[in-house]
Amino acid sequence: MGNLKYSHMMHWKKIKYKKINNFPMYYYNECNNNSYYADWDKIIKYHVACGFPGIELMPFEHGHMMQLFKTPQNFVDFIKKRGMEQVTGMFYGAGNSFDKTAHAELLEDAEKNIDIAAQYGCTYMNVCPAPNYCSAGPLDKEQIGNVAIFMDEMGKRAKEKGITICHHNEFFCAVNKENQELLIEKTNPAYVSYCLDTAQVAMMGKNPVSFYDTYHERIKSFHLKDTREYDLPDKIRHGLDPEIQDDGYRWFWDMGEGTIDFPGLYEKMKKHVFKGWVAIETDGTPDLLATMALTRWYIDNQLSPILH
Amino acid sequence: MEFSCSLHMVNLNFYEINRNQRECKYFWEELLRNVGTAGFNTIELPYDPYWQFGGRNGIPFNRYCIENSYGFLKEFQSFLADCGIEKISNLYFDPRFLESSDLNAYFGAYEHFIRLEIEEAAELKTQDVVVSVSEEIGHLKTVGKNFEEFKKIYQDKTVVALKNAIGYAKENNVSLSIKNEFWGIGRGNEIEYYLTQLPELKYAPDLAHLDIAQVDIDAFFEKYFDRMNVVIFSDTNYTDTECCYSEPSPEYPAKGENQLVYCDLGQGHVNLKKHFQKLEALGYKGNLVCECKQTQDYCRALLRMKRVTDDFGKR
Repeated sequence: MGNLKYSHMMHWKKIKYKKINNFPMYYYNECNNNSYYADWDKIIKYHVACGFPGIELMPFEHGHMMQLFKTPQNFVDFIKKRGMEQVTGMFYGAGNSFDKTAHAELLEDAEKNIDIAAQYGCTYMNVCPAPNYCSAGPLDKEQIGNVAIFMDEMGKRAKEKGITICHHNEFFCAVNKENQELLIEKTNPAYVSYCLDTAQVAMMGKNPVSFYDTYHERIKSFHLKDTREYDLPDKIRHGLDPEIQDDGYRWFWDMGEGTIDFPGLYEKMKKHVFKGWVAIETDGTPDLLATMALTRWYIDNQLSPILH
Repeated sequence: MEFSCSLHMVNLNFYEINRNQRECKYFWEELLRNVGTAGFNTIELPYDPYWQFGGRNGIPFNRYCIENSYGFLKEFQSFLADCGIEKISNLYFDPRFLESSDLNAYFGAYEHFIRLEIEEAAELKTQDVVVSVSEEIGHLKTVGKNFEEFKKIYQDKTVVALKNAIGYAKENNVSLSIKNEFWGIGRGNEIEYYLTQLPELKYAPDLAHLDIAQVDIDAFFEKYFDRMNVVIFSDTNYTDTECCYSEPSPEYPAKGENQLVYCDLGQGHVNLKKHFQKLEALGYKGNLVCECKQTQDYCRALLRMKRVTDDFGKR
């Protein structure tokens, strides 16, 4: 594995149980495979078995997780007992950060989430810097400046807790293809890094390989995922809530099923000697375990040899 | 009696294989066609504002999502009619997504969303709205230090919110019913507190919840018969031997050998036929909502509901 350690981003939604006490009894209720996805005990074991010693959490599930585990530390102990190393990161949405008058309230909320991430032992926090384009875009330079001020302040506060804030863009975010580089330039590298989400970047018309080559010093976390799209038109990126399509059309695919040049990216990661956690994001799949296993195969057989 | 199929059967919050499909419009349209095909021409529509915040417009559980998918509520009704669904028996609002340690924030939002539920029901020409009276006791015990004192304050605040809601429902020609889950303040016989204080309030008994709270369901029917517009037929094989009702995550209990709380209609130990016959004997003419709570296979659930209601011999 060398310089890279792999984490898997939590797209499982809520998990019903901490542990099913009598699995055969539970299974016989409906005799189907849902019983295999109903408790954290098995979900964590799947991660470890597929070679993902890290997990990245979404904030939406934190409340229910606390019902099951009571404290983040209990969750950390639980995953370590099953062979996982750590909770690597969390996600956060920065709300109306383009509006300076909202900063005080947003920072209060951000700080709460930083504290939660710190309790889980996260090393980074990926932050979507603004709301969807359909509700807030287009942002002018002053508004991008406000986003940068917010991100810097959040980054500063997170750094004090040992957490690196990474700007994470979405193809439907108000910070978009025309100004995401501007935001990168306006934020302070001491406080704000960047999470390269390969599919999101491609959908905004940027080649993720050359993007990494350009910004490798800022890129401290990854969301590796594939897509068959490149440079989506404005009407989609600016459209109303485009992440989930009415007809089930998938933007995101398992690594190797799309057109992202992952071998090219790994060549650049080798060139720039990237060391650290790399997260796989598998949103879009109807079966997270199948996607984790396929991704592990792709990494071991297509990508890891590039690094050695 | 009108038989209605509850869309609340679809698990949206917890992981299952193919769960992501449930966020797309095509899933709901196929489901609704299948509901009609299974012989249900009436549905219970959950009112769940949560889905308007995540851009999951395909889930038709609030005005924002429906209007973004269909333009107008009326267009959604036309789609339902094409599926053979002529009527929405009731909307149902579960406030647990508002869970908060700040009671003012919770009750402010509770009242706000009930008003929106009432407005939506009125526009959909739906006579009844159902609301739960409480968050989970397992959560509330972490909010109030002296739980018995806290419970009284919580109940009183709930009564105030419901009183306001009754007035607003009246203005909109809609009837407001409450539901008592086994995991909430108001469980089992404790529903009496609200019904006594608010005589205009209706009651929507839910069989699985009453069974788990260990009350005599038929006696409940007799007692509240003149206040029932909506009765929810649901099933369970669960017995709360560990008192998990007051613990966190009561619907997915941590303790006990049997951790599956709900099951599809006809798969549990609730004597559905006996309770149906009791309603008949009482002359109940309202809505009978069939709900396979958290079903793991909605197609199978539809057929199971059809089998159970066919067995009643009155469809």
